[in-house]
Amino acid sequence: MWTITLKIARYKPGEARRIDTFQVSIDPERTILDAVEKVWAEQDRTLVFRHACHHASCGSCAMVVNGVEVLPCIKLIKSVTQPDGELMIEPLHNFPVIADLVADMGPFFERMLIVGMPIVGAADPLPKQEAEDFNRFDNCIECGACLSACPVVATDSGYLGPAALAAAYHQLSVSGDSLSKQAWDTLDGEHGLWRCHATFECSAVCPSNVDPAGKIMALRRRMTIERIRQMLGLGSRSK
Amino acid sequence: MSPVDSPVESKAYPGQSGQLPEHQVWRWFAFARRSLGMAGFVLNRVAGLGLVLYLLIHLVVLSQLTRGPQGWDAFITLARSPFFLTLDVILLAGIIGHGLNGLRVALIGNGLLVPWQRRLLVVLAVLGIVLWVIAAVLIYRG
Repeated sequence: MWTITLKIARYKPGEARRIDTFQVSIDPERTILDAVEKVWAEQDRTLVFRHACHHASCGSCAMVVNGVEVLPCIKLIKSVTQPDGELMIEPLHNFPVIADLVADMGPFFERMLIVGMPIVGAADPLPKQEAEDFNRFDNCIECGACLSACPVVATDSGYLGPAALAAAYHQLSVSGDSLSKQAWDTLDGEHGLWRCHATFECSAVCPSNVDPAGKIMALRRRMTIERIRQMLGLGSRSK
Repeated sequence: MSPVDSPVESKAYPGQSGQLPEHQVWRWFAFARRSLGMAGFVLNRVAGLGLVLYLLIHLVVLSQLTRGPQGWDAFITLARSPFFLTLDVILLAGIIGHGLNGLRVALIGNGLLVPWQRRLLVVLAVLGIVLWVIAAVLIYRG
């Protein structure tokens, strides 16, 4: 068993923000979420956090641990600290906070709706390829880690952000070359795909290997080709 | 079940609250524990701001021309001092770093070499350091 220190960001509406420090004895093979639950169960039942599946399927528990977005349900204690170590646990950045470690995910889903993407679509049959190469956008678990890690969202709350842009690319790929002019204009607008500064931080923290940054760059390439086609009079922007 | 312990310590925290955070410019520079791409982003921001500052200083220095040959010659003598040569070497680091990183961003930003963006950053960083060292030697040798 390790004894570790958890510094947890606390907030309740109407209260001052603060950091509470807790000592927890825990098996280092357990997860960060286990440690947070242990704090809640044994030390402070007012601690608010969100979780459901405990296996990286629902995406609801995403937090910032020691400055980096993680899914605490699959992140082992031993992978982020050491005996007598310390964990700084915060809610996702770039989101309003409802309470303690619970971010308001509204801005995430509003972005998805802006580009007109269905959040839930019909499942496609698995393609015949190696599992490690299987990397479709349907893997997105809508955890919000990419939006939290993006330095551009930090200064432009209107930026569509990695998840919505990756969703747009996915939709474009699924539907061939068909996207409405309105969707193109949104992507091509002030807060669209050109706003990305290519830090690839979204791809680095994505727990589901969606690679949003790669999708944004692919989308840019398509947009650039589309513009060249327009300039040469070879095709229209939307179909 | 009821709480069996209170927190060991509790102190103020400047993090976000119920309001949507706006204009957190400091996050542009929060690269600790982040990826290599974030380091490149920070480098470009810092170098870019430095080059803008240099441009302003450069214009101020050029205004010495209005004071005639004597004022200008005095400045040139000062500019050849080791201190000013060191400032030139620092300036060169900003130019090379910003230029090569800008090339990387332009390439991957248009969908080229995306799968190799990390390697590209490392290769250009090594190239930049080599160029910078050679240039620094040439500057100090005069």
